[in-house]
Amino acid sequence: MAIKRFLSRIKGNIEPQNTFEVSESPSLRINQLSVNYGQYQALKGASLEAFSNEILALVGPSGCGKSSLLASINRMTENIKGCQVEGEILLDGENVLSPAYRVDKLRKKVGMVFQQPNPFPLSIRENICFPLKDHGMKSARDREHQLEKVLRQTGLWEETKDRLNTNALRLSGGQQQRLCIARALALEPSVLLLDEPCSALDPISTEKIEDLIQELKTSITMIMVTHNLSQARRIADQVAVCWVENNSGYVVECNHTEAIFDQSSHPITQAYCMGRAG
Amino acid sequence: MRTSKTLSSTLNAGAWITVGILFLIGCFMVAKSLPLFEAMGVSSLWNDSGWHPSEGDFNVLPMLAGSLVIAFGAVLVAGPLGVMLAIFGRYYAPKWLASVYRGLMELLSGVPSVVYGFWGLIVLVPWISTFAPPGASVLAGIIVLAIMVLPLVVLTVDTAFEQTPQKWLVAADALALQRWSKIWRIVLPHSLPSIFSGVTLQTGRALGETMAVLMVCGNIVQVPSSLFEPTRTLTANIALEMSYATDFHVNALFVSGLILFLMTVLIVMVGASVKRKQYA
Repeated sequence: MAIKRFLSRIKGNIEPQNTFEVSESPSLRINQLSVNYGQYQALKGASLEAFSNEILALVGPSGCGKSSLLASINRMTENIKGCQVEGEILLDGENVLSPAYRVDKLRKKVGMVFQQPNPFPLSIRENICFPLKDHGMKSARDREHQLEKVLRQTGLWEETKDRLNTNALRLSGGQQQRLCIARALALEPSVLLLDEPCSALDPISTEKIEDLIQELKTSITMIMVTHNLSQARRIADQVAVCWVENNSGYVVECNHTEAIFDQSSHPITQAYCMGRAG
Repeated sequence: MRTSKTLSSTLNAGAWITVGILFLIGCFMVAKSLPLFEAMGVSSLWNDSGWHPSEGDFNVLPMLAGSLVIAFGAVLVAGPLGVMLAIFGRYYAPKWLASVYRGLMELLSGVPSVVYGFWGLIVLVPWISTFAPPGASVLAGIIVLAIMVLPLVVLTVDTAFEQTPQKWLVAADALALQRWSKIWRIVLPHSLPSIFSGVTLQTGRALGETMAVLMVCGNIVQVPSSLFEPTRTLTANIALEMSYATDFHVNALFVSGLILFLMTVLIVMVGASVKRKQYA
């Protein structure tokens, strides 16, 4: 019951504002998404929209299903035994959850960056070029070109151009994370999923990644899970607040960042964003 | 770190006792070998005209060659094959098959070597003799030994694969990399040191195997010039002659034992050093 109430509220909040500020249709639309792990329901009936040129932050306490929501978008949930996803995720009008939608095509379009930086134990160059080659980019010149492009985009070019053949694991944590972002960007995705990308990093590296994410949003739709409310406030355009009730997660509301932090009338949002709950 | 003094001293004592026993075995074998060295010199091991114990000729080279050819031949077959089977079992086989498969490998690794030898004698040797008589040969030894160490190679390699950090595999999946690229560029390079050290240890085991090899190799003392010729290994030689050896002959058999002992120690050290490098 409560969920239905919230859903109507979510819809009510998004639709009017879209007409004012976002002219194009959402690049990603999630309808009634539920994620179950066996008997346990991690996420129940979540509906959301993410727009291109915007950063959508998913915030909420642990166990509210925000990571499950994120992992459903590129179907990484399929790697988890017993995980079932129901609902609809529309990317460019196509439901990516339908079995007919090819996973490799989906993951090329929807990149993902994880909490722990996870570059491959290969050289900096191969971290970018090997996935490109695997996806059929045959010409070494094209790969080198793409390598330079994404390393420049992520601000790594100047730092690494003289040691592209050294092992990526020698980079600092922050550099590794930027390399992972570069690796995802190399496949030219239209959506980038970020699962708490800064939580394992120091404040200076975090700032660099935040700046990077904001630069990148001009070309890519960003969806970011974060535990850090001030981070969401700093860089997100839209914020979705998730919550846990009866052991299952749901989306409380989704709105523009200022609306969530300053004007929300929802008691849970107010309590969570003011630091009174969660 | 807080720890129980009794426990750590017991464990320490256990470790030192093991080292002590190993050292004593070494000393004992050297002591038993010395009379031969004193009487004929170490060079008689490779300068004598052959292995004729009754005439005092103790050239061990043919049997050393037999041992090495068969052990390395077996590992050369079982190593790559084992890696392939482990890749299949972990990454390509359907779930139910993979678990049956692993169980089967564990079962096979527990079968006594004499059973493999018996199978070799009854099935393999007659089959080889149909196209290359007499059948009992280096090839038969290599095949039997390869089949024997294969399950252990598969299990070692599979354990090495299992230790590949999950975060790399997740990254590979998120990038939609092909399964084979994931294995070839990430899993295999990471597992290589463990695979190498595991296979090296199996070489030690293959070198020490006696019964199965004795049953299928023909046991003629000669440096084999082809895969189809019979040969005798150092281990088989000890087993065959120990019951009737006397005088220097006994010492010569201990020399064979000492050679095997030193080679095994060397192989284990090589394997361990590769493993250590990985974690350095």
